[in-house]
Amino acid sequence: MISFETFYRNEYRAMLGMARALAPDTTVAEDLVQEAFITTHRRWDQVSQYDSPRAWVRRVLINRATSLRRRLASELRALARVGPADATPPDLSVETSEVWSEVHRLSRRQQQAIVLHYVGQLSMVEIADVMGCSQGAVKSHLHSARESLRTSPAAWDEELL
Amino acid sequence: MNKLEQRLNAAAEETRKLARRRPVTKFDERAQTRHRGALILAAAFAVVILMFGLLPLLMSEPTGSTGSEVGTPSTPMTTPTTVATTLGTAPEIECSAQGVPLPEEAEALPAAVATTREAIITAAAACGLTALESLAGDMLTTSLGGGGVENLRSWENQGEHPLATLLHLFDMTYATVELEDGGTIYVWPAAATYESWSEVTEEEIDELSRIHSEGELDQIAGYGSYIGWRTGIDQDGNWLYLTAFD
Repeated sequence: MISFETFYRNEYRAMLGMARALAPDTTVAEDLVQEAFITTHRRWDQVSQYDSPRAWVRRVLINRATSLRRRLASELRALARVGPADATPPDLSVETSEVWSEVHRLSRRQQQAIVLHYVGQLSMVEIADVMGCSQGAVKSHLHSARESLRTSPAAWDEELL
Repeated sequence: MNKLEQRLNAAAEETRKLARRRPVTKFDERAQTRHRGALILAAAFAVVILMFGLLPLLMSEPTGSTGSEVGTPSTPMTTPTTVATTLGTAPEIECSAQGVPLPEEAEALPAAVATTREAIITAAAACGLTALESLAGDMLTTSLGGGGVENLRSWENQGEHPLATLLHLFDMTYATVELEDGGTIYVWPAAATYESWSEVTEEEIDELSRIHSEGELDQIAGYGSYIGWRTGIDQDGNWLYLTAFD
């Protein structure tokens, strides 16, 4: 059985990439990854016996990430009413940030499918395992997500030209 | 490869590179910080419990009773669930449900469902996560990522408001979902059972605005059907789920 420490080291950066795509900044992404691993650590005896502990920890991550952003959005709205916050230096290019902003406007399941597919580079089988749905449902989420992104007015204008 | 695929792939590649550049945060340090915090909270909670438990004994007048009677409960023993869900019990923690008006009685619910609903309301209003845990048993799902009431505890700590949400949900109109096996699930809010967001009435949208921001409701409307906070109890009174956006 793999030790938790090895599992953590092996998976951390892949998890961080997916978290970063779903989170508003890297600090929040790192917190999300830690939260997911803390949950995993508490249940490691059980999780380590699963066929795919990787899928389990990814599932925890993506669910937390998409839940957390709802709360952060509320906080940001509240902050906006108070005044501008200190800007932190961007760690992603404007173009990439725009891409993730557009993705964040998709439904929760569509966001998850997009991030697991493009950032996580998981197969359809793996994504279905992480999302707890059928491969057909994954394909449907990805298809709907792409359709929404294509018709989104903000980021994909060039697509229509 | 079309433009959309190119942009998604480029964004994903840049994001993966960023992640690869970041140092792997030491797990133990941060986890233990949180555990230390939890231990301190637990210790403080234990002190409060001890104080509440011992104060009446210390304050009471001697009655001349024999030693063997000291500590004998003055009321019949009850199950932990009953104790923890009694209104007026000191809250386990500060929680979002404090100050939220209690839902009114729901009409036409089967007794088992009504009893569970009342027990959940009572426990949530008292911030009684332990009581909710007893009520949930192994049946409750709060996230596809796994977990039951422990998620509610975590979300409360993170500043989300699951316990307040529970009270608001049970104050909304419910609907039933008939299962193929003949069972019935009682679902709050009713909007969660509609095929399309277009079926949600203005009055229901007003109700939902208690638990969702305008932006979230727009997002939900864009999705096409209600996927926000919802909870369900089966006909036997089993509390099945409290979830959102899954």
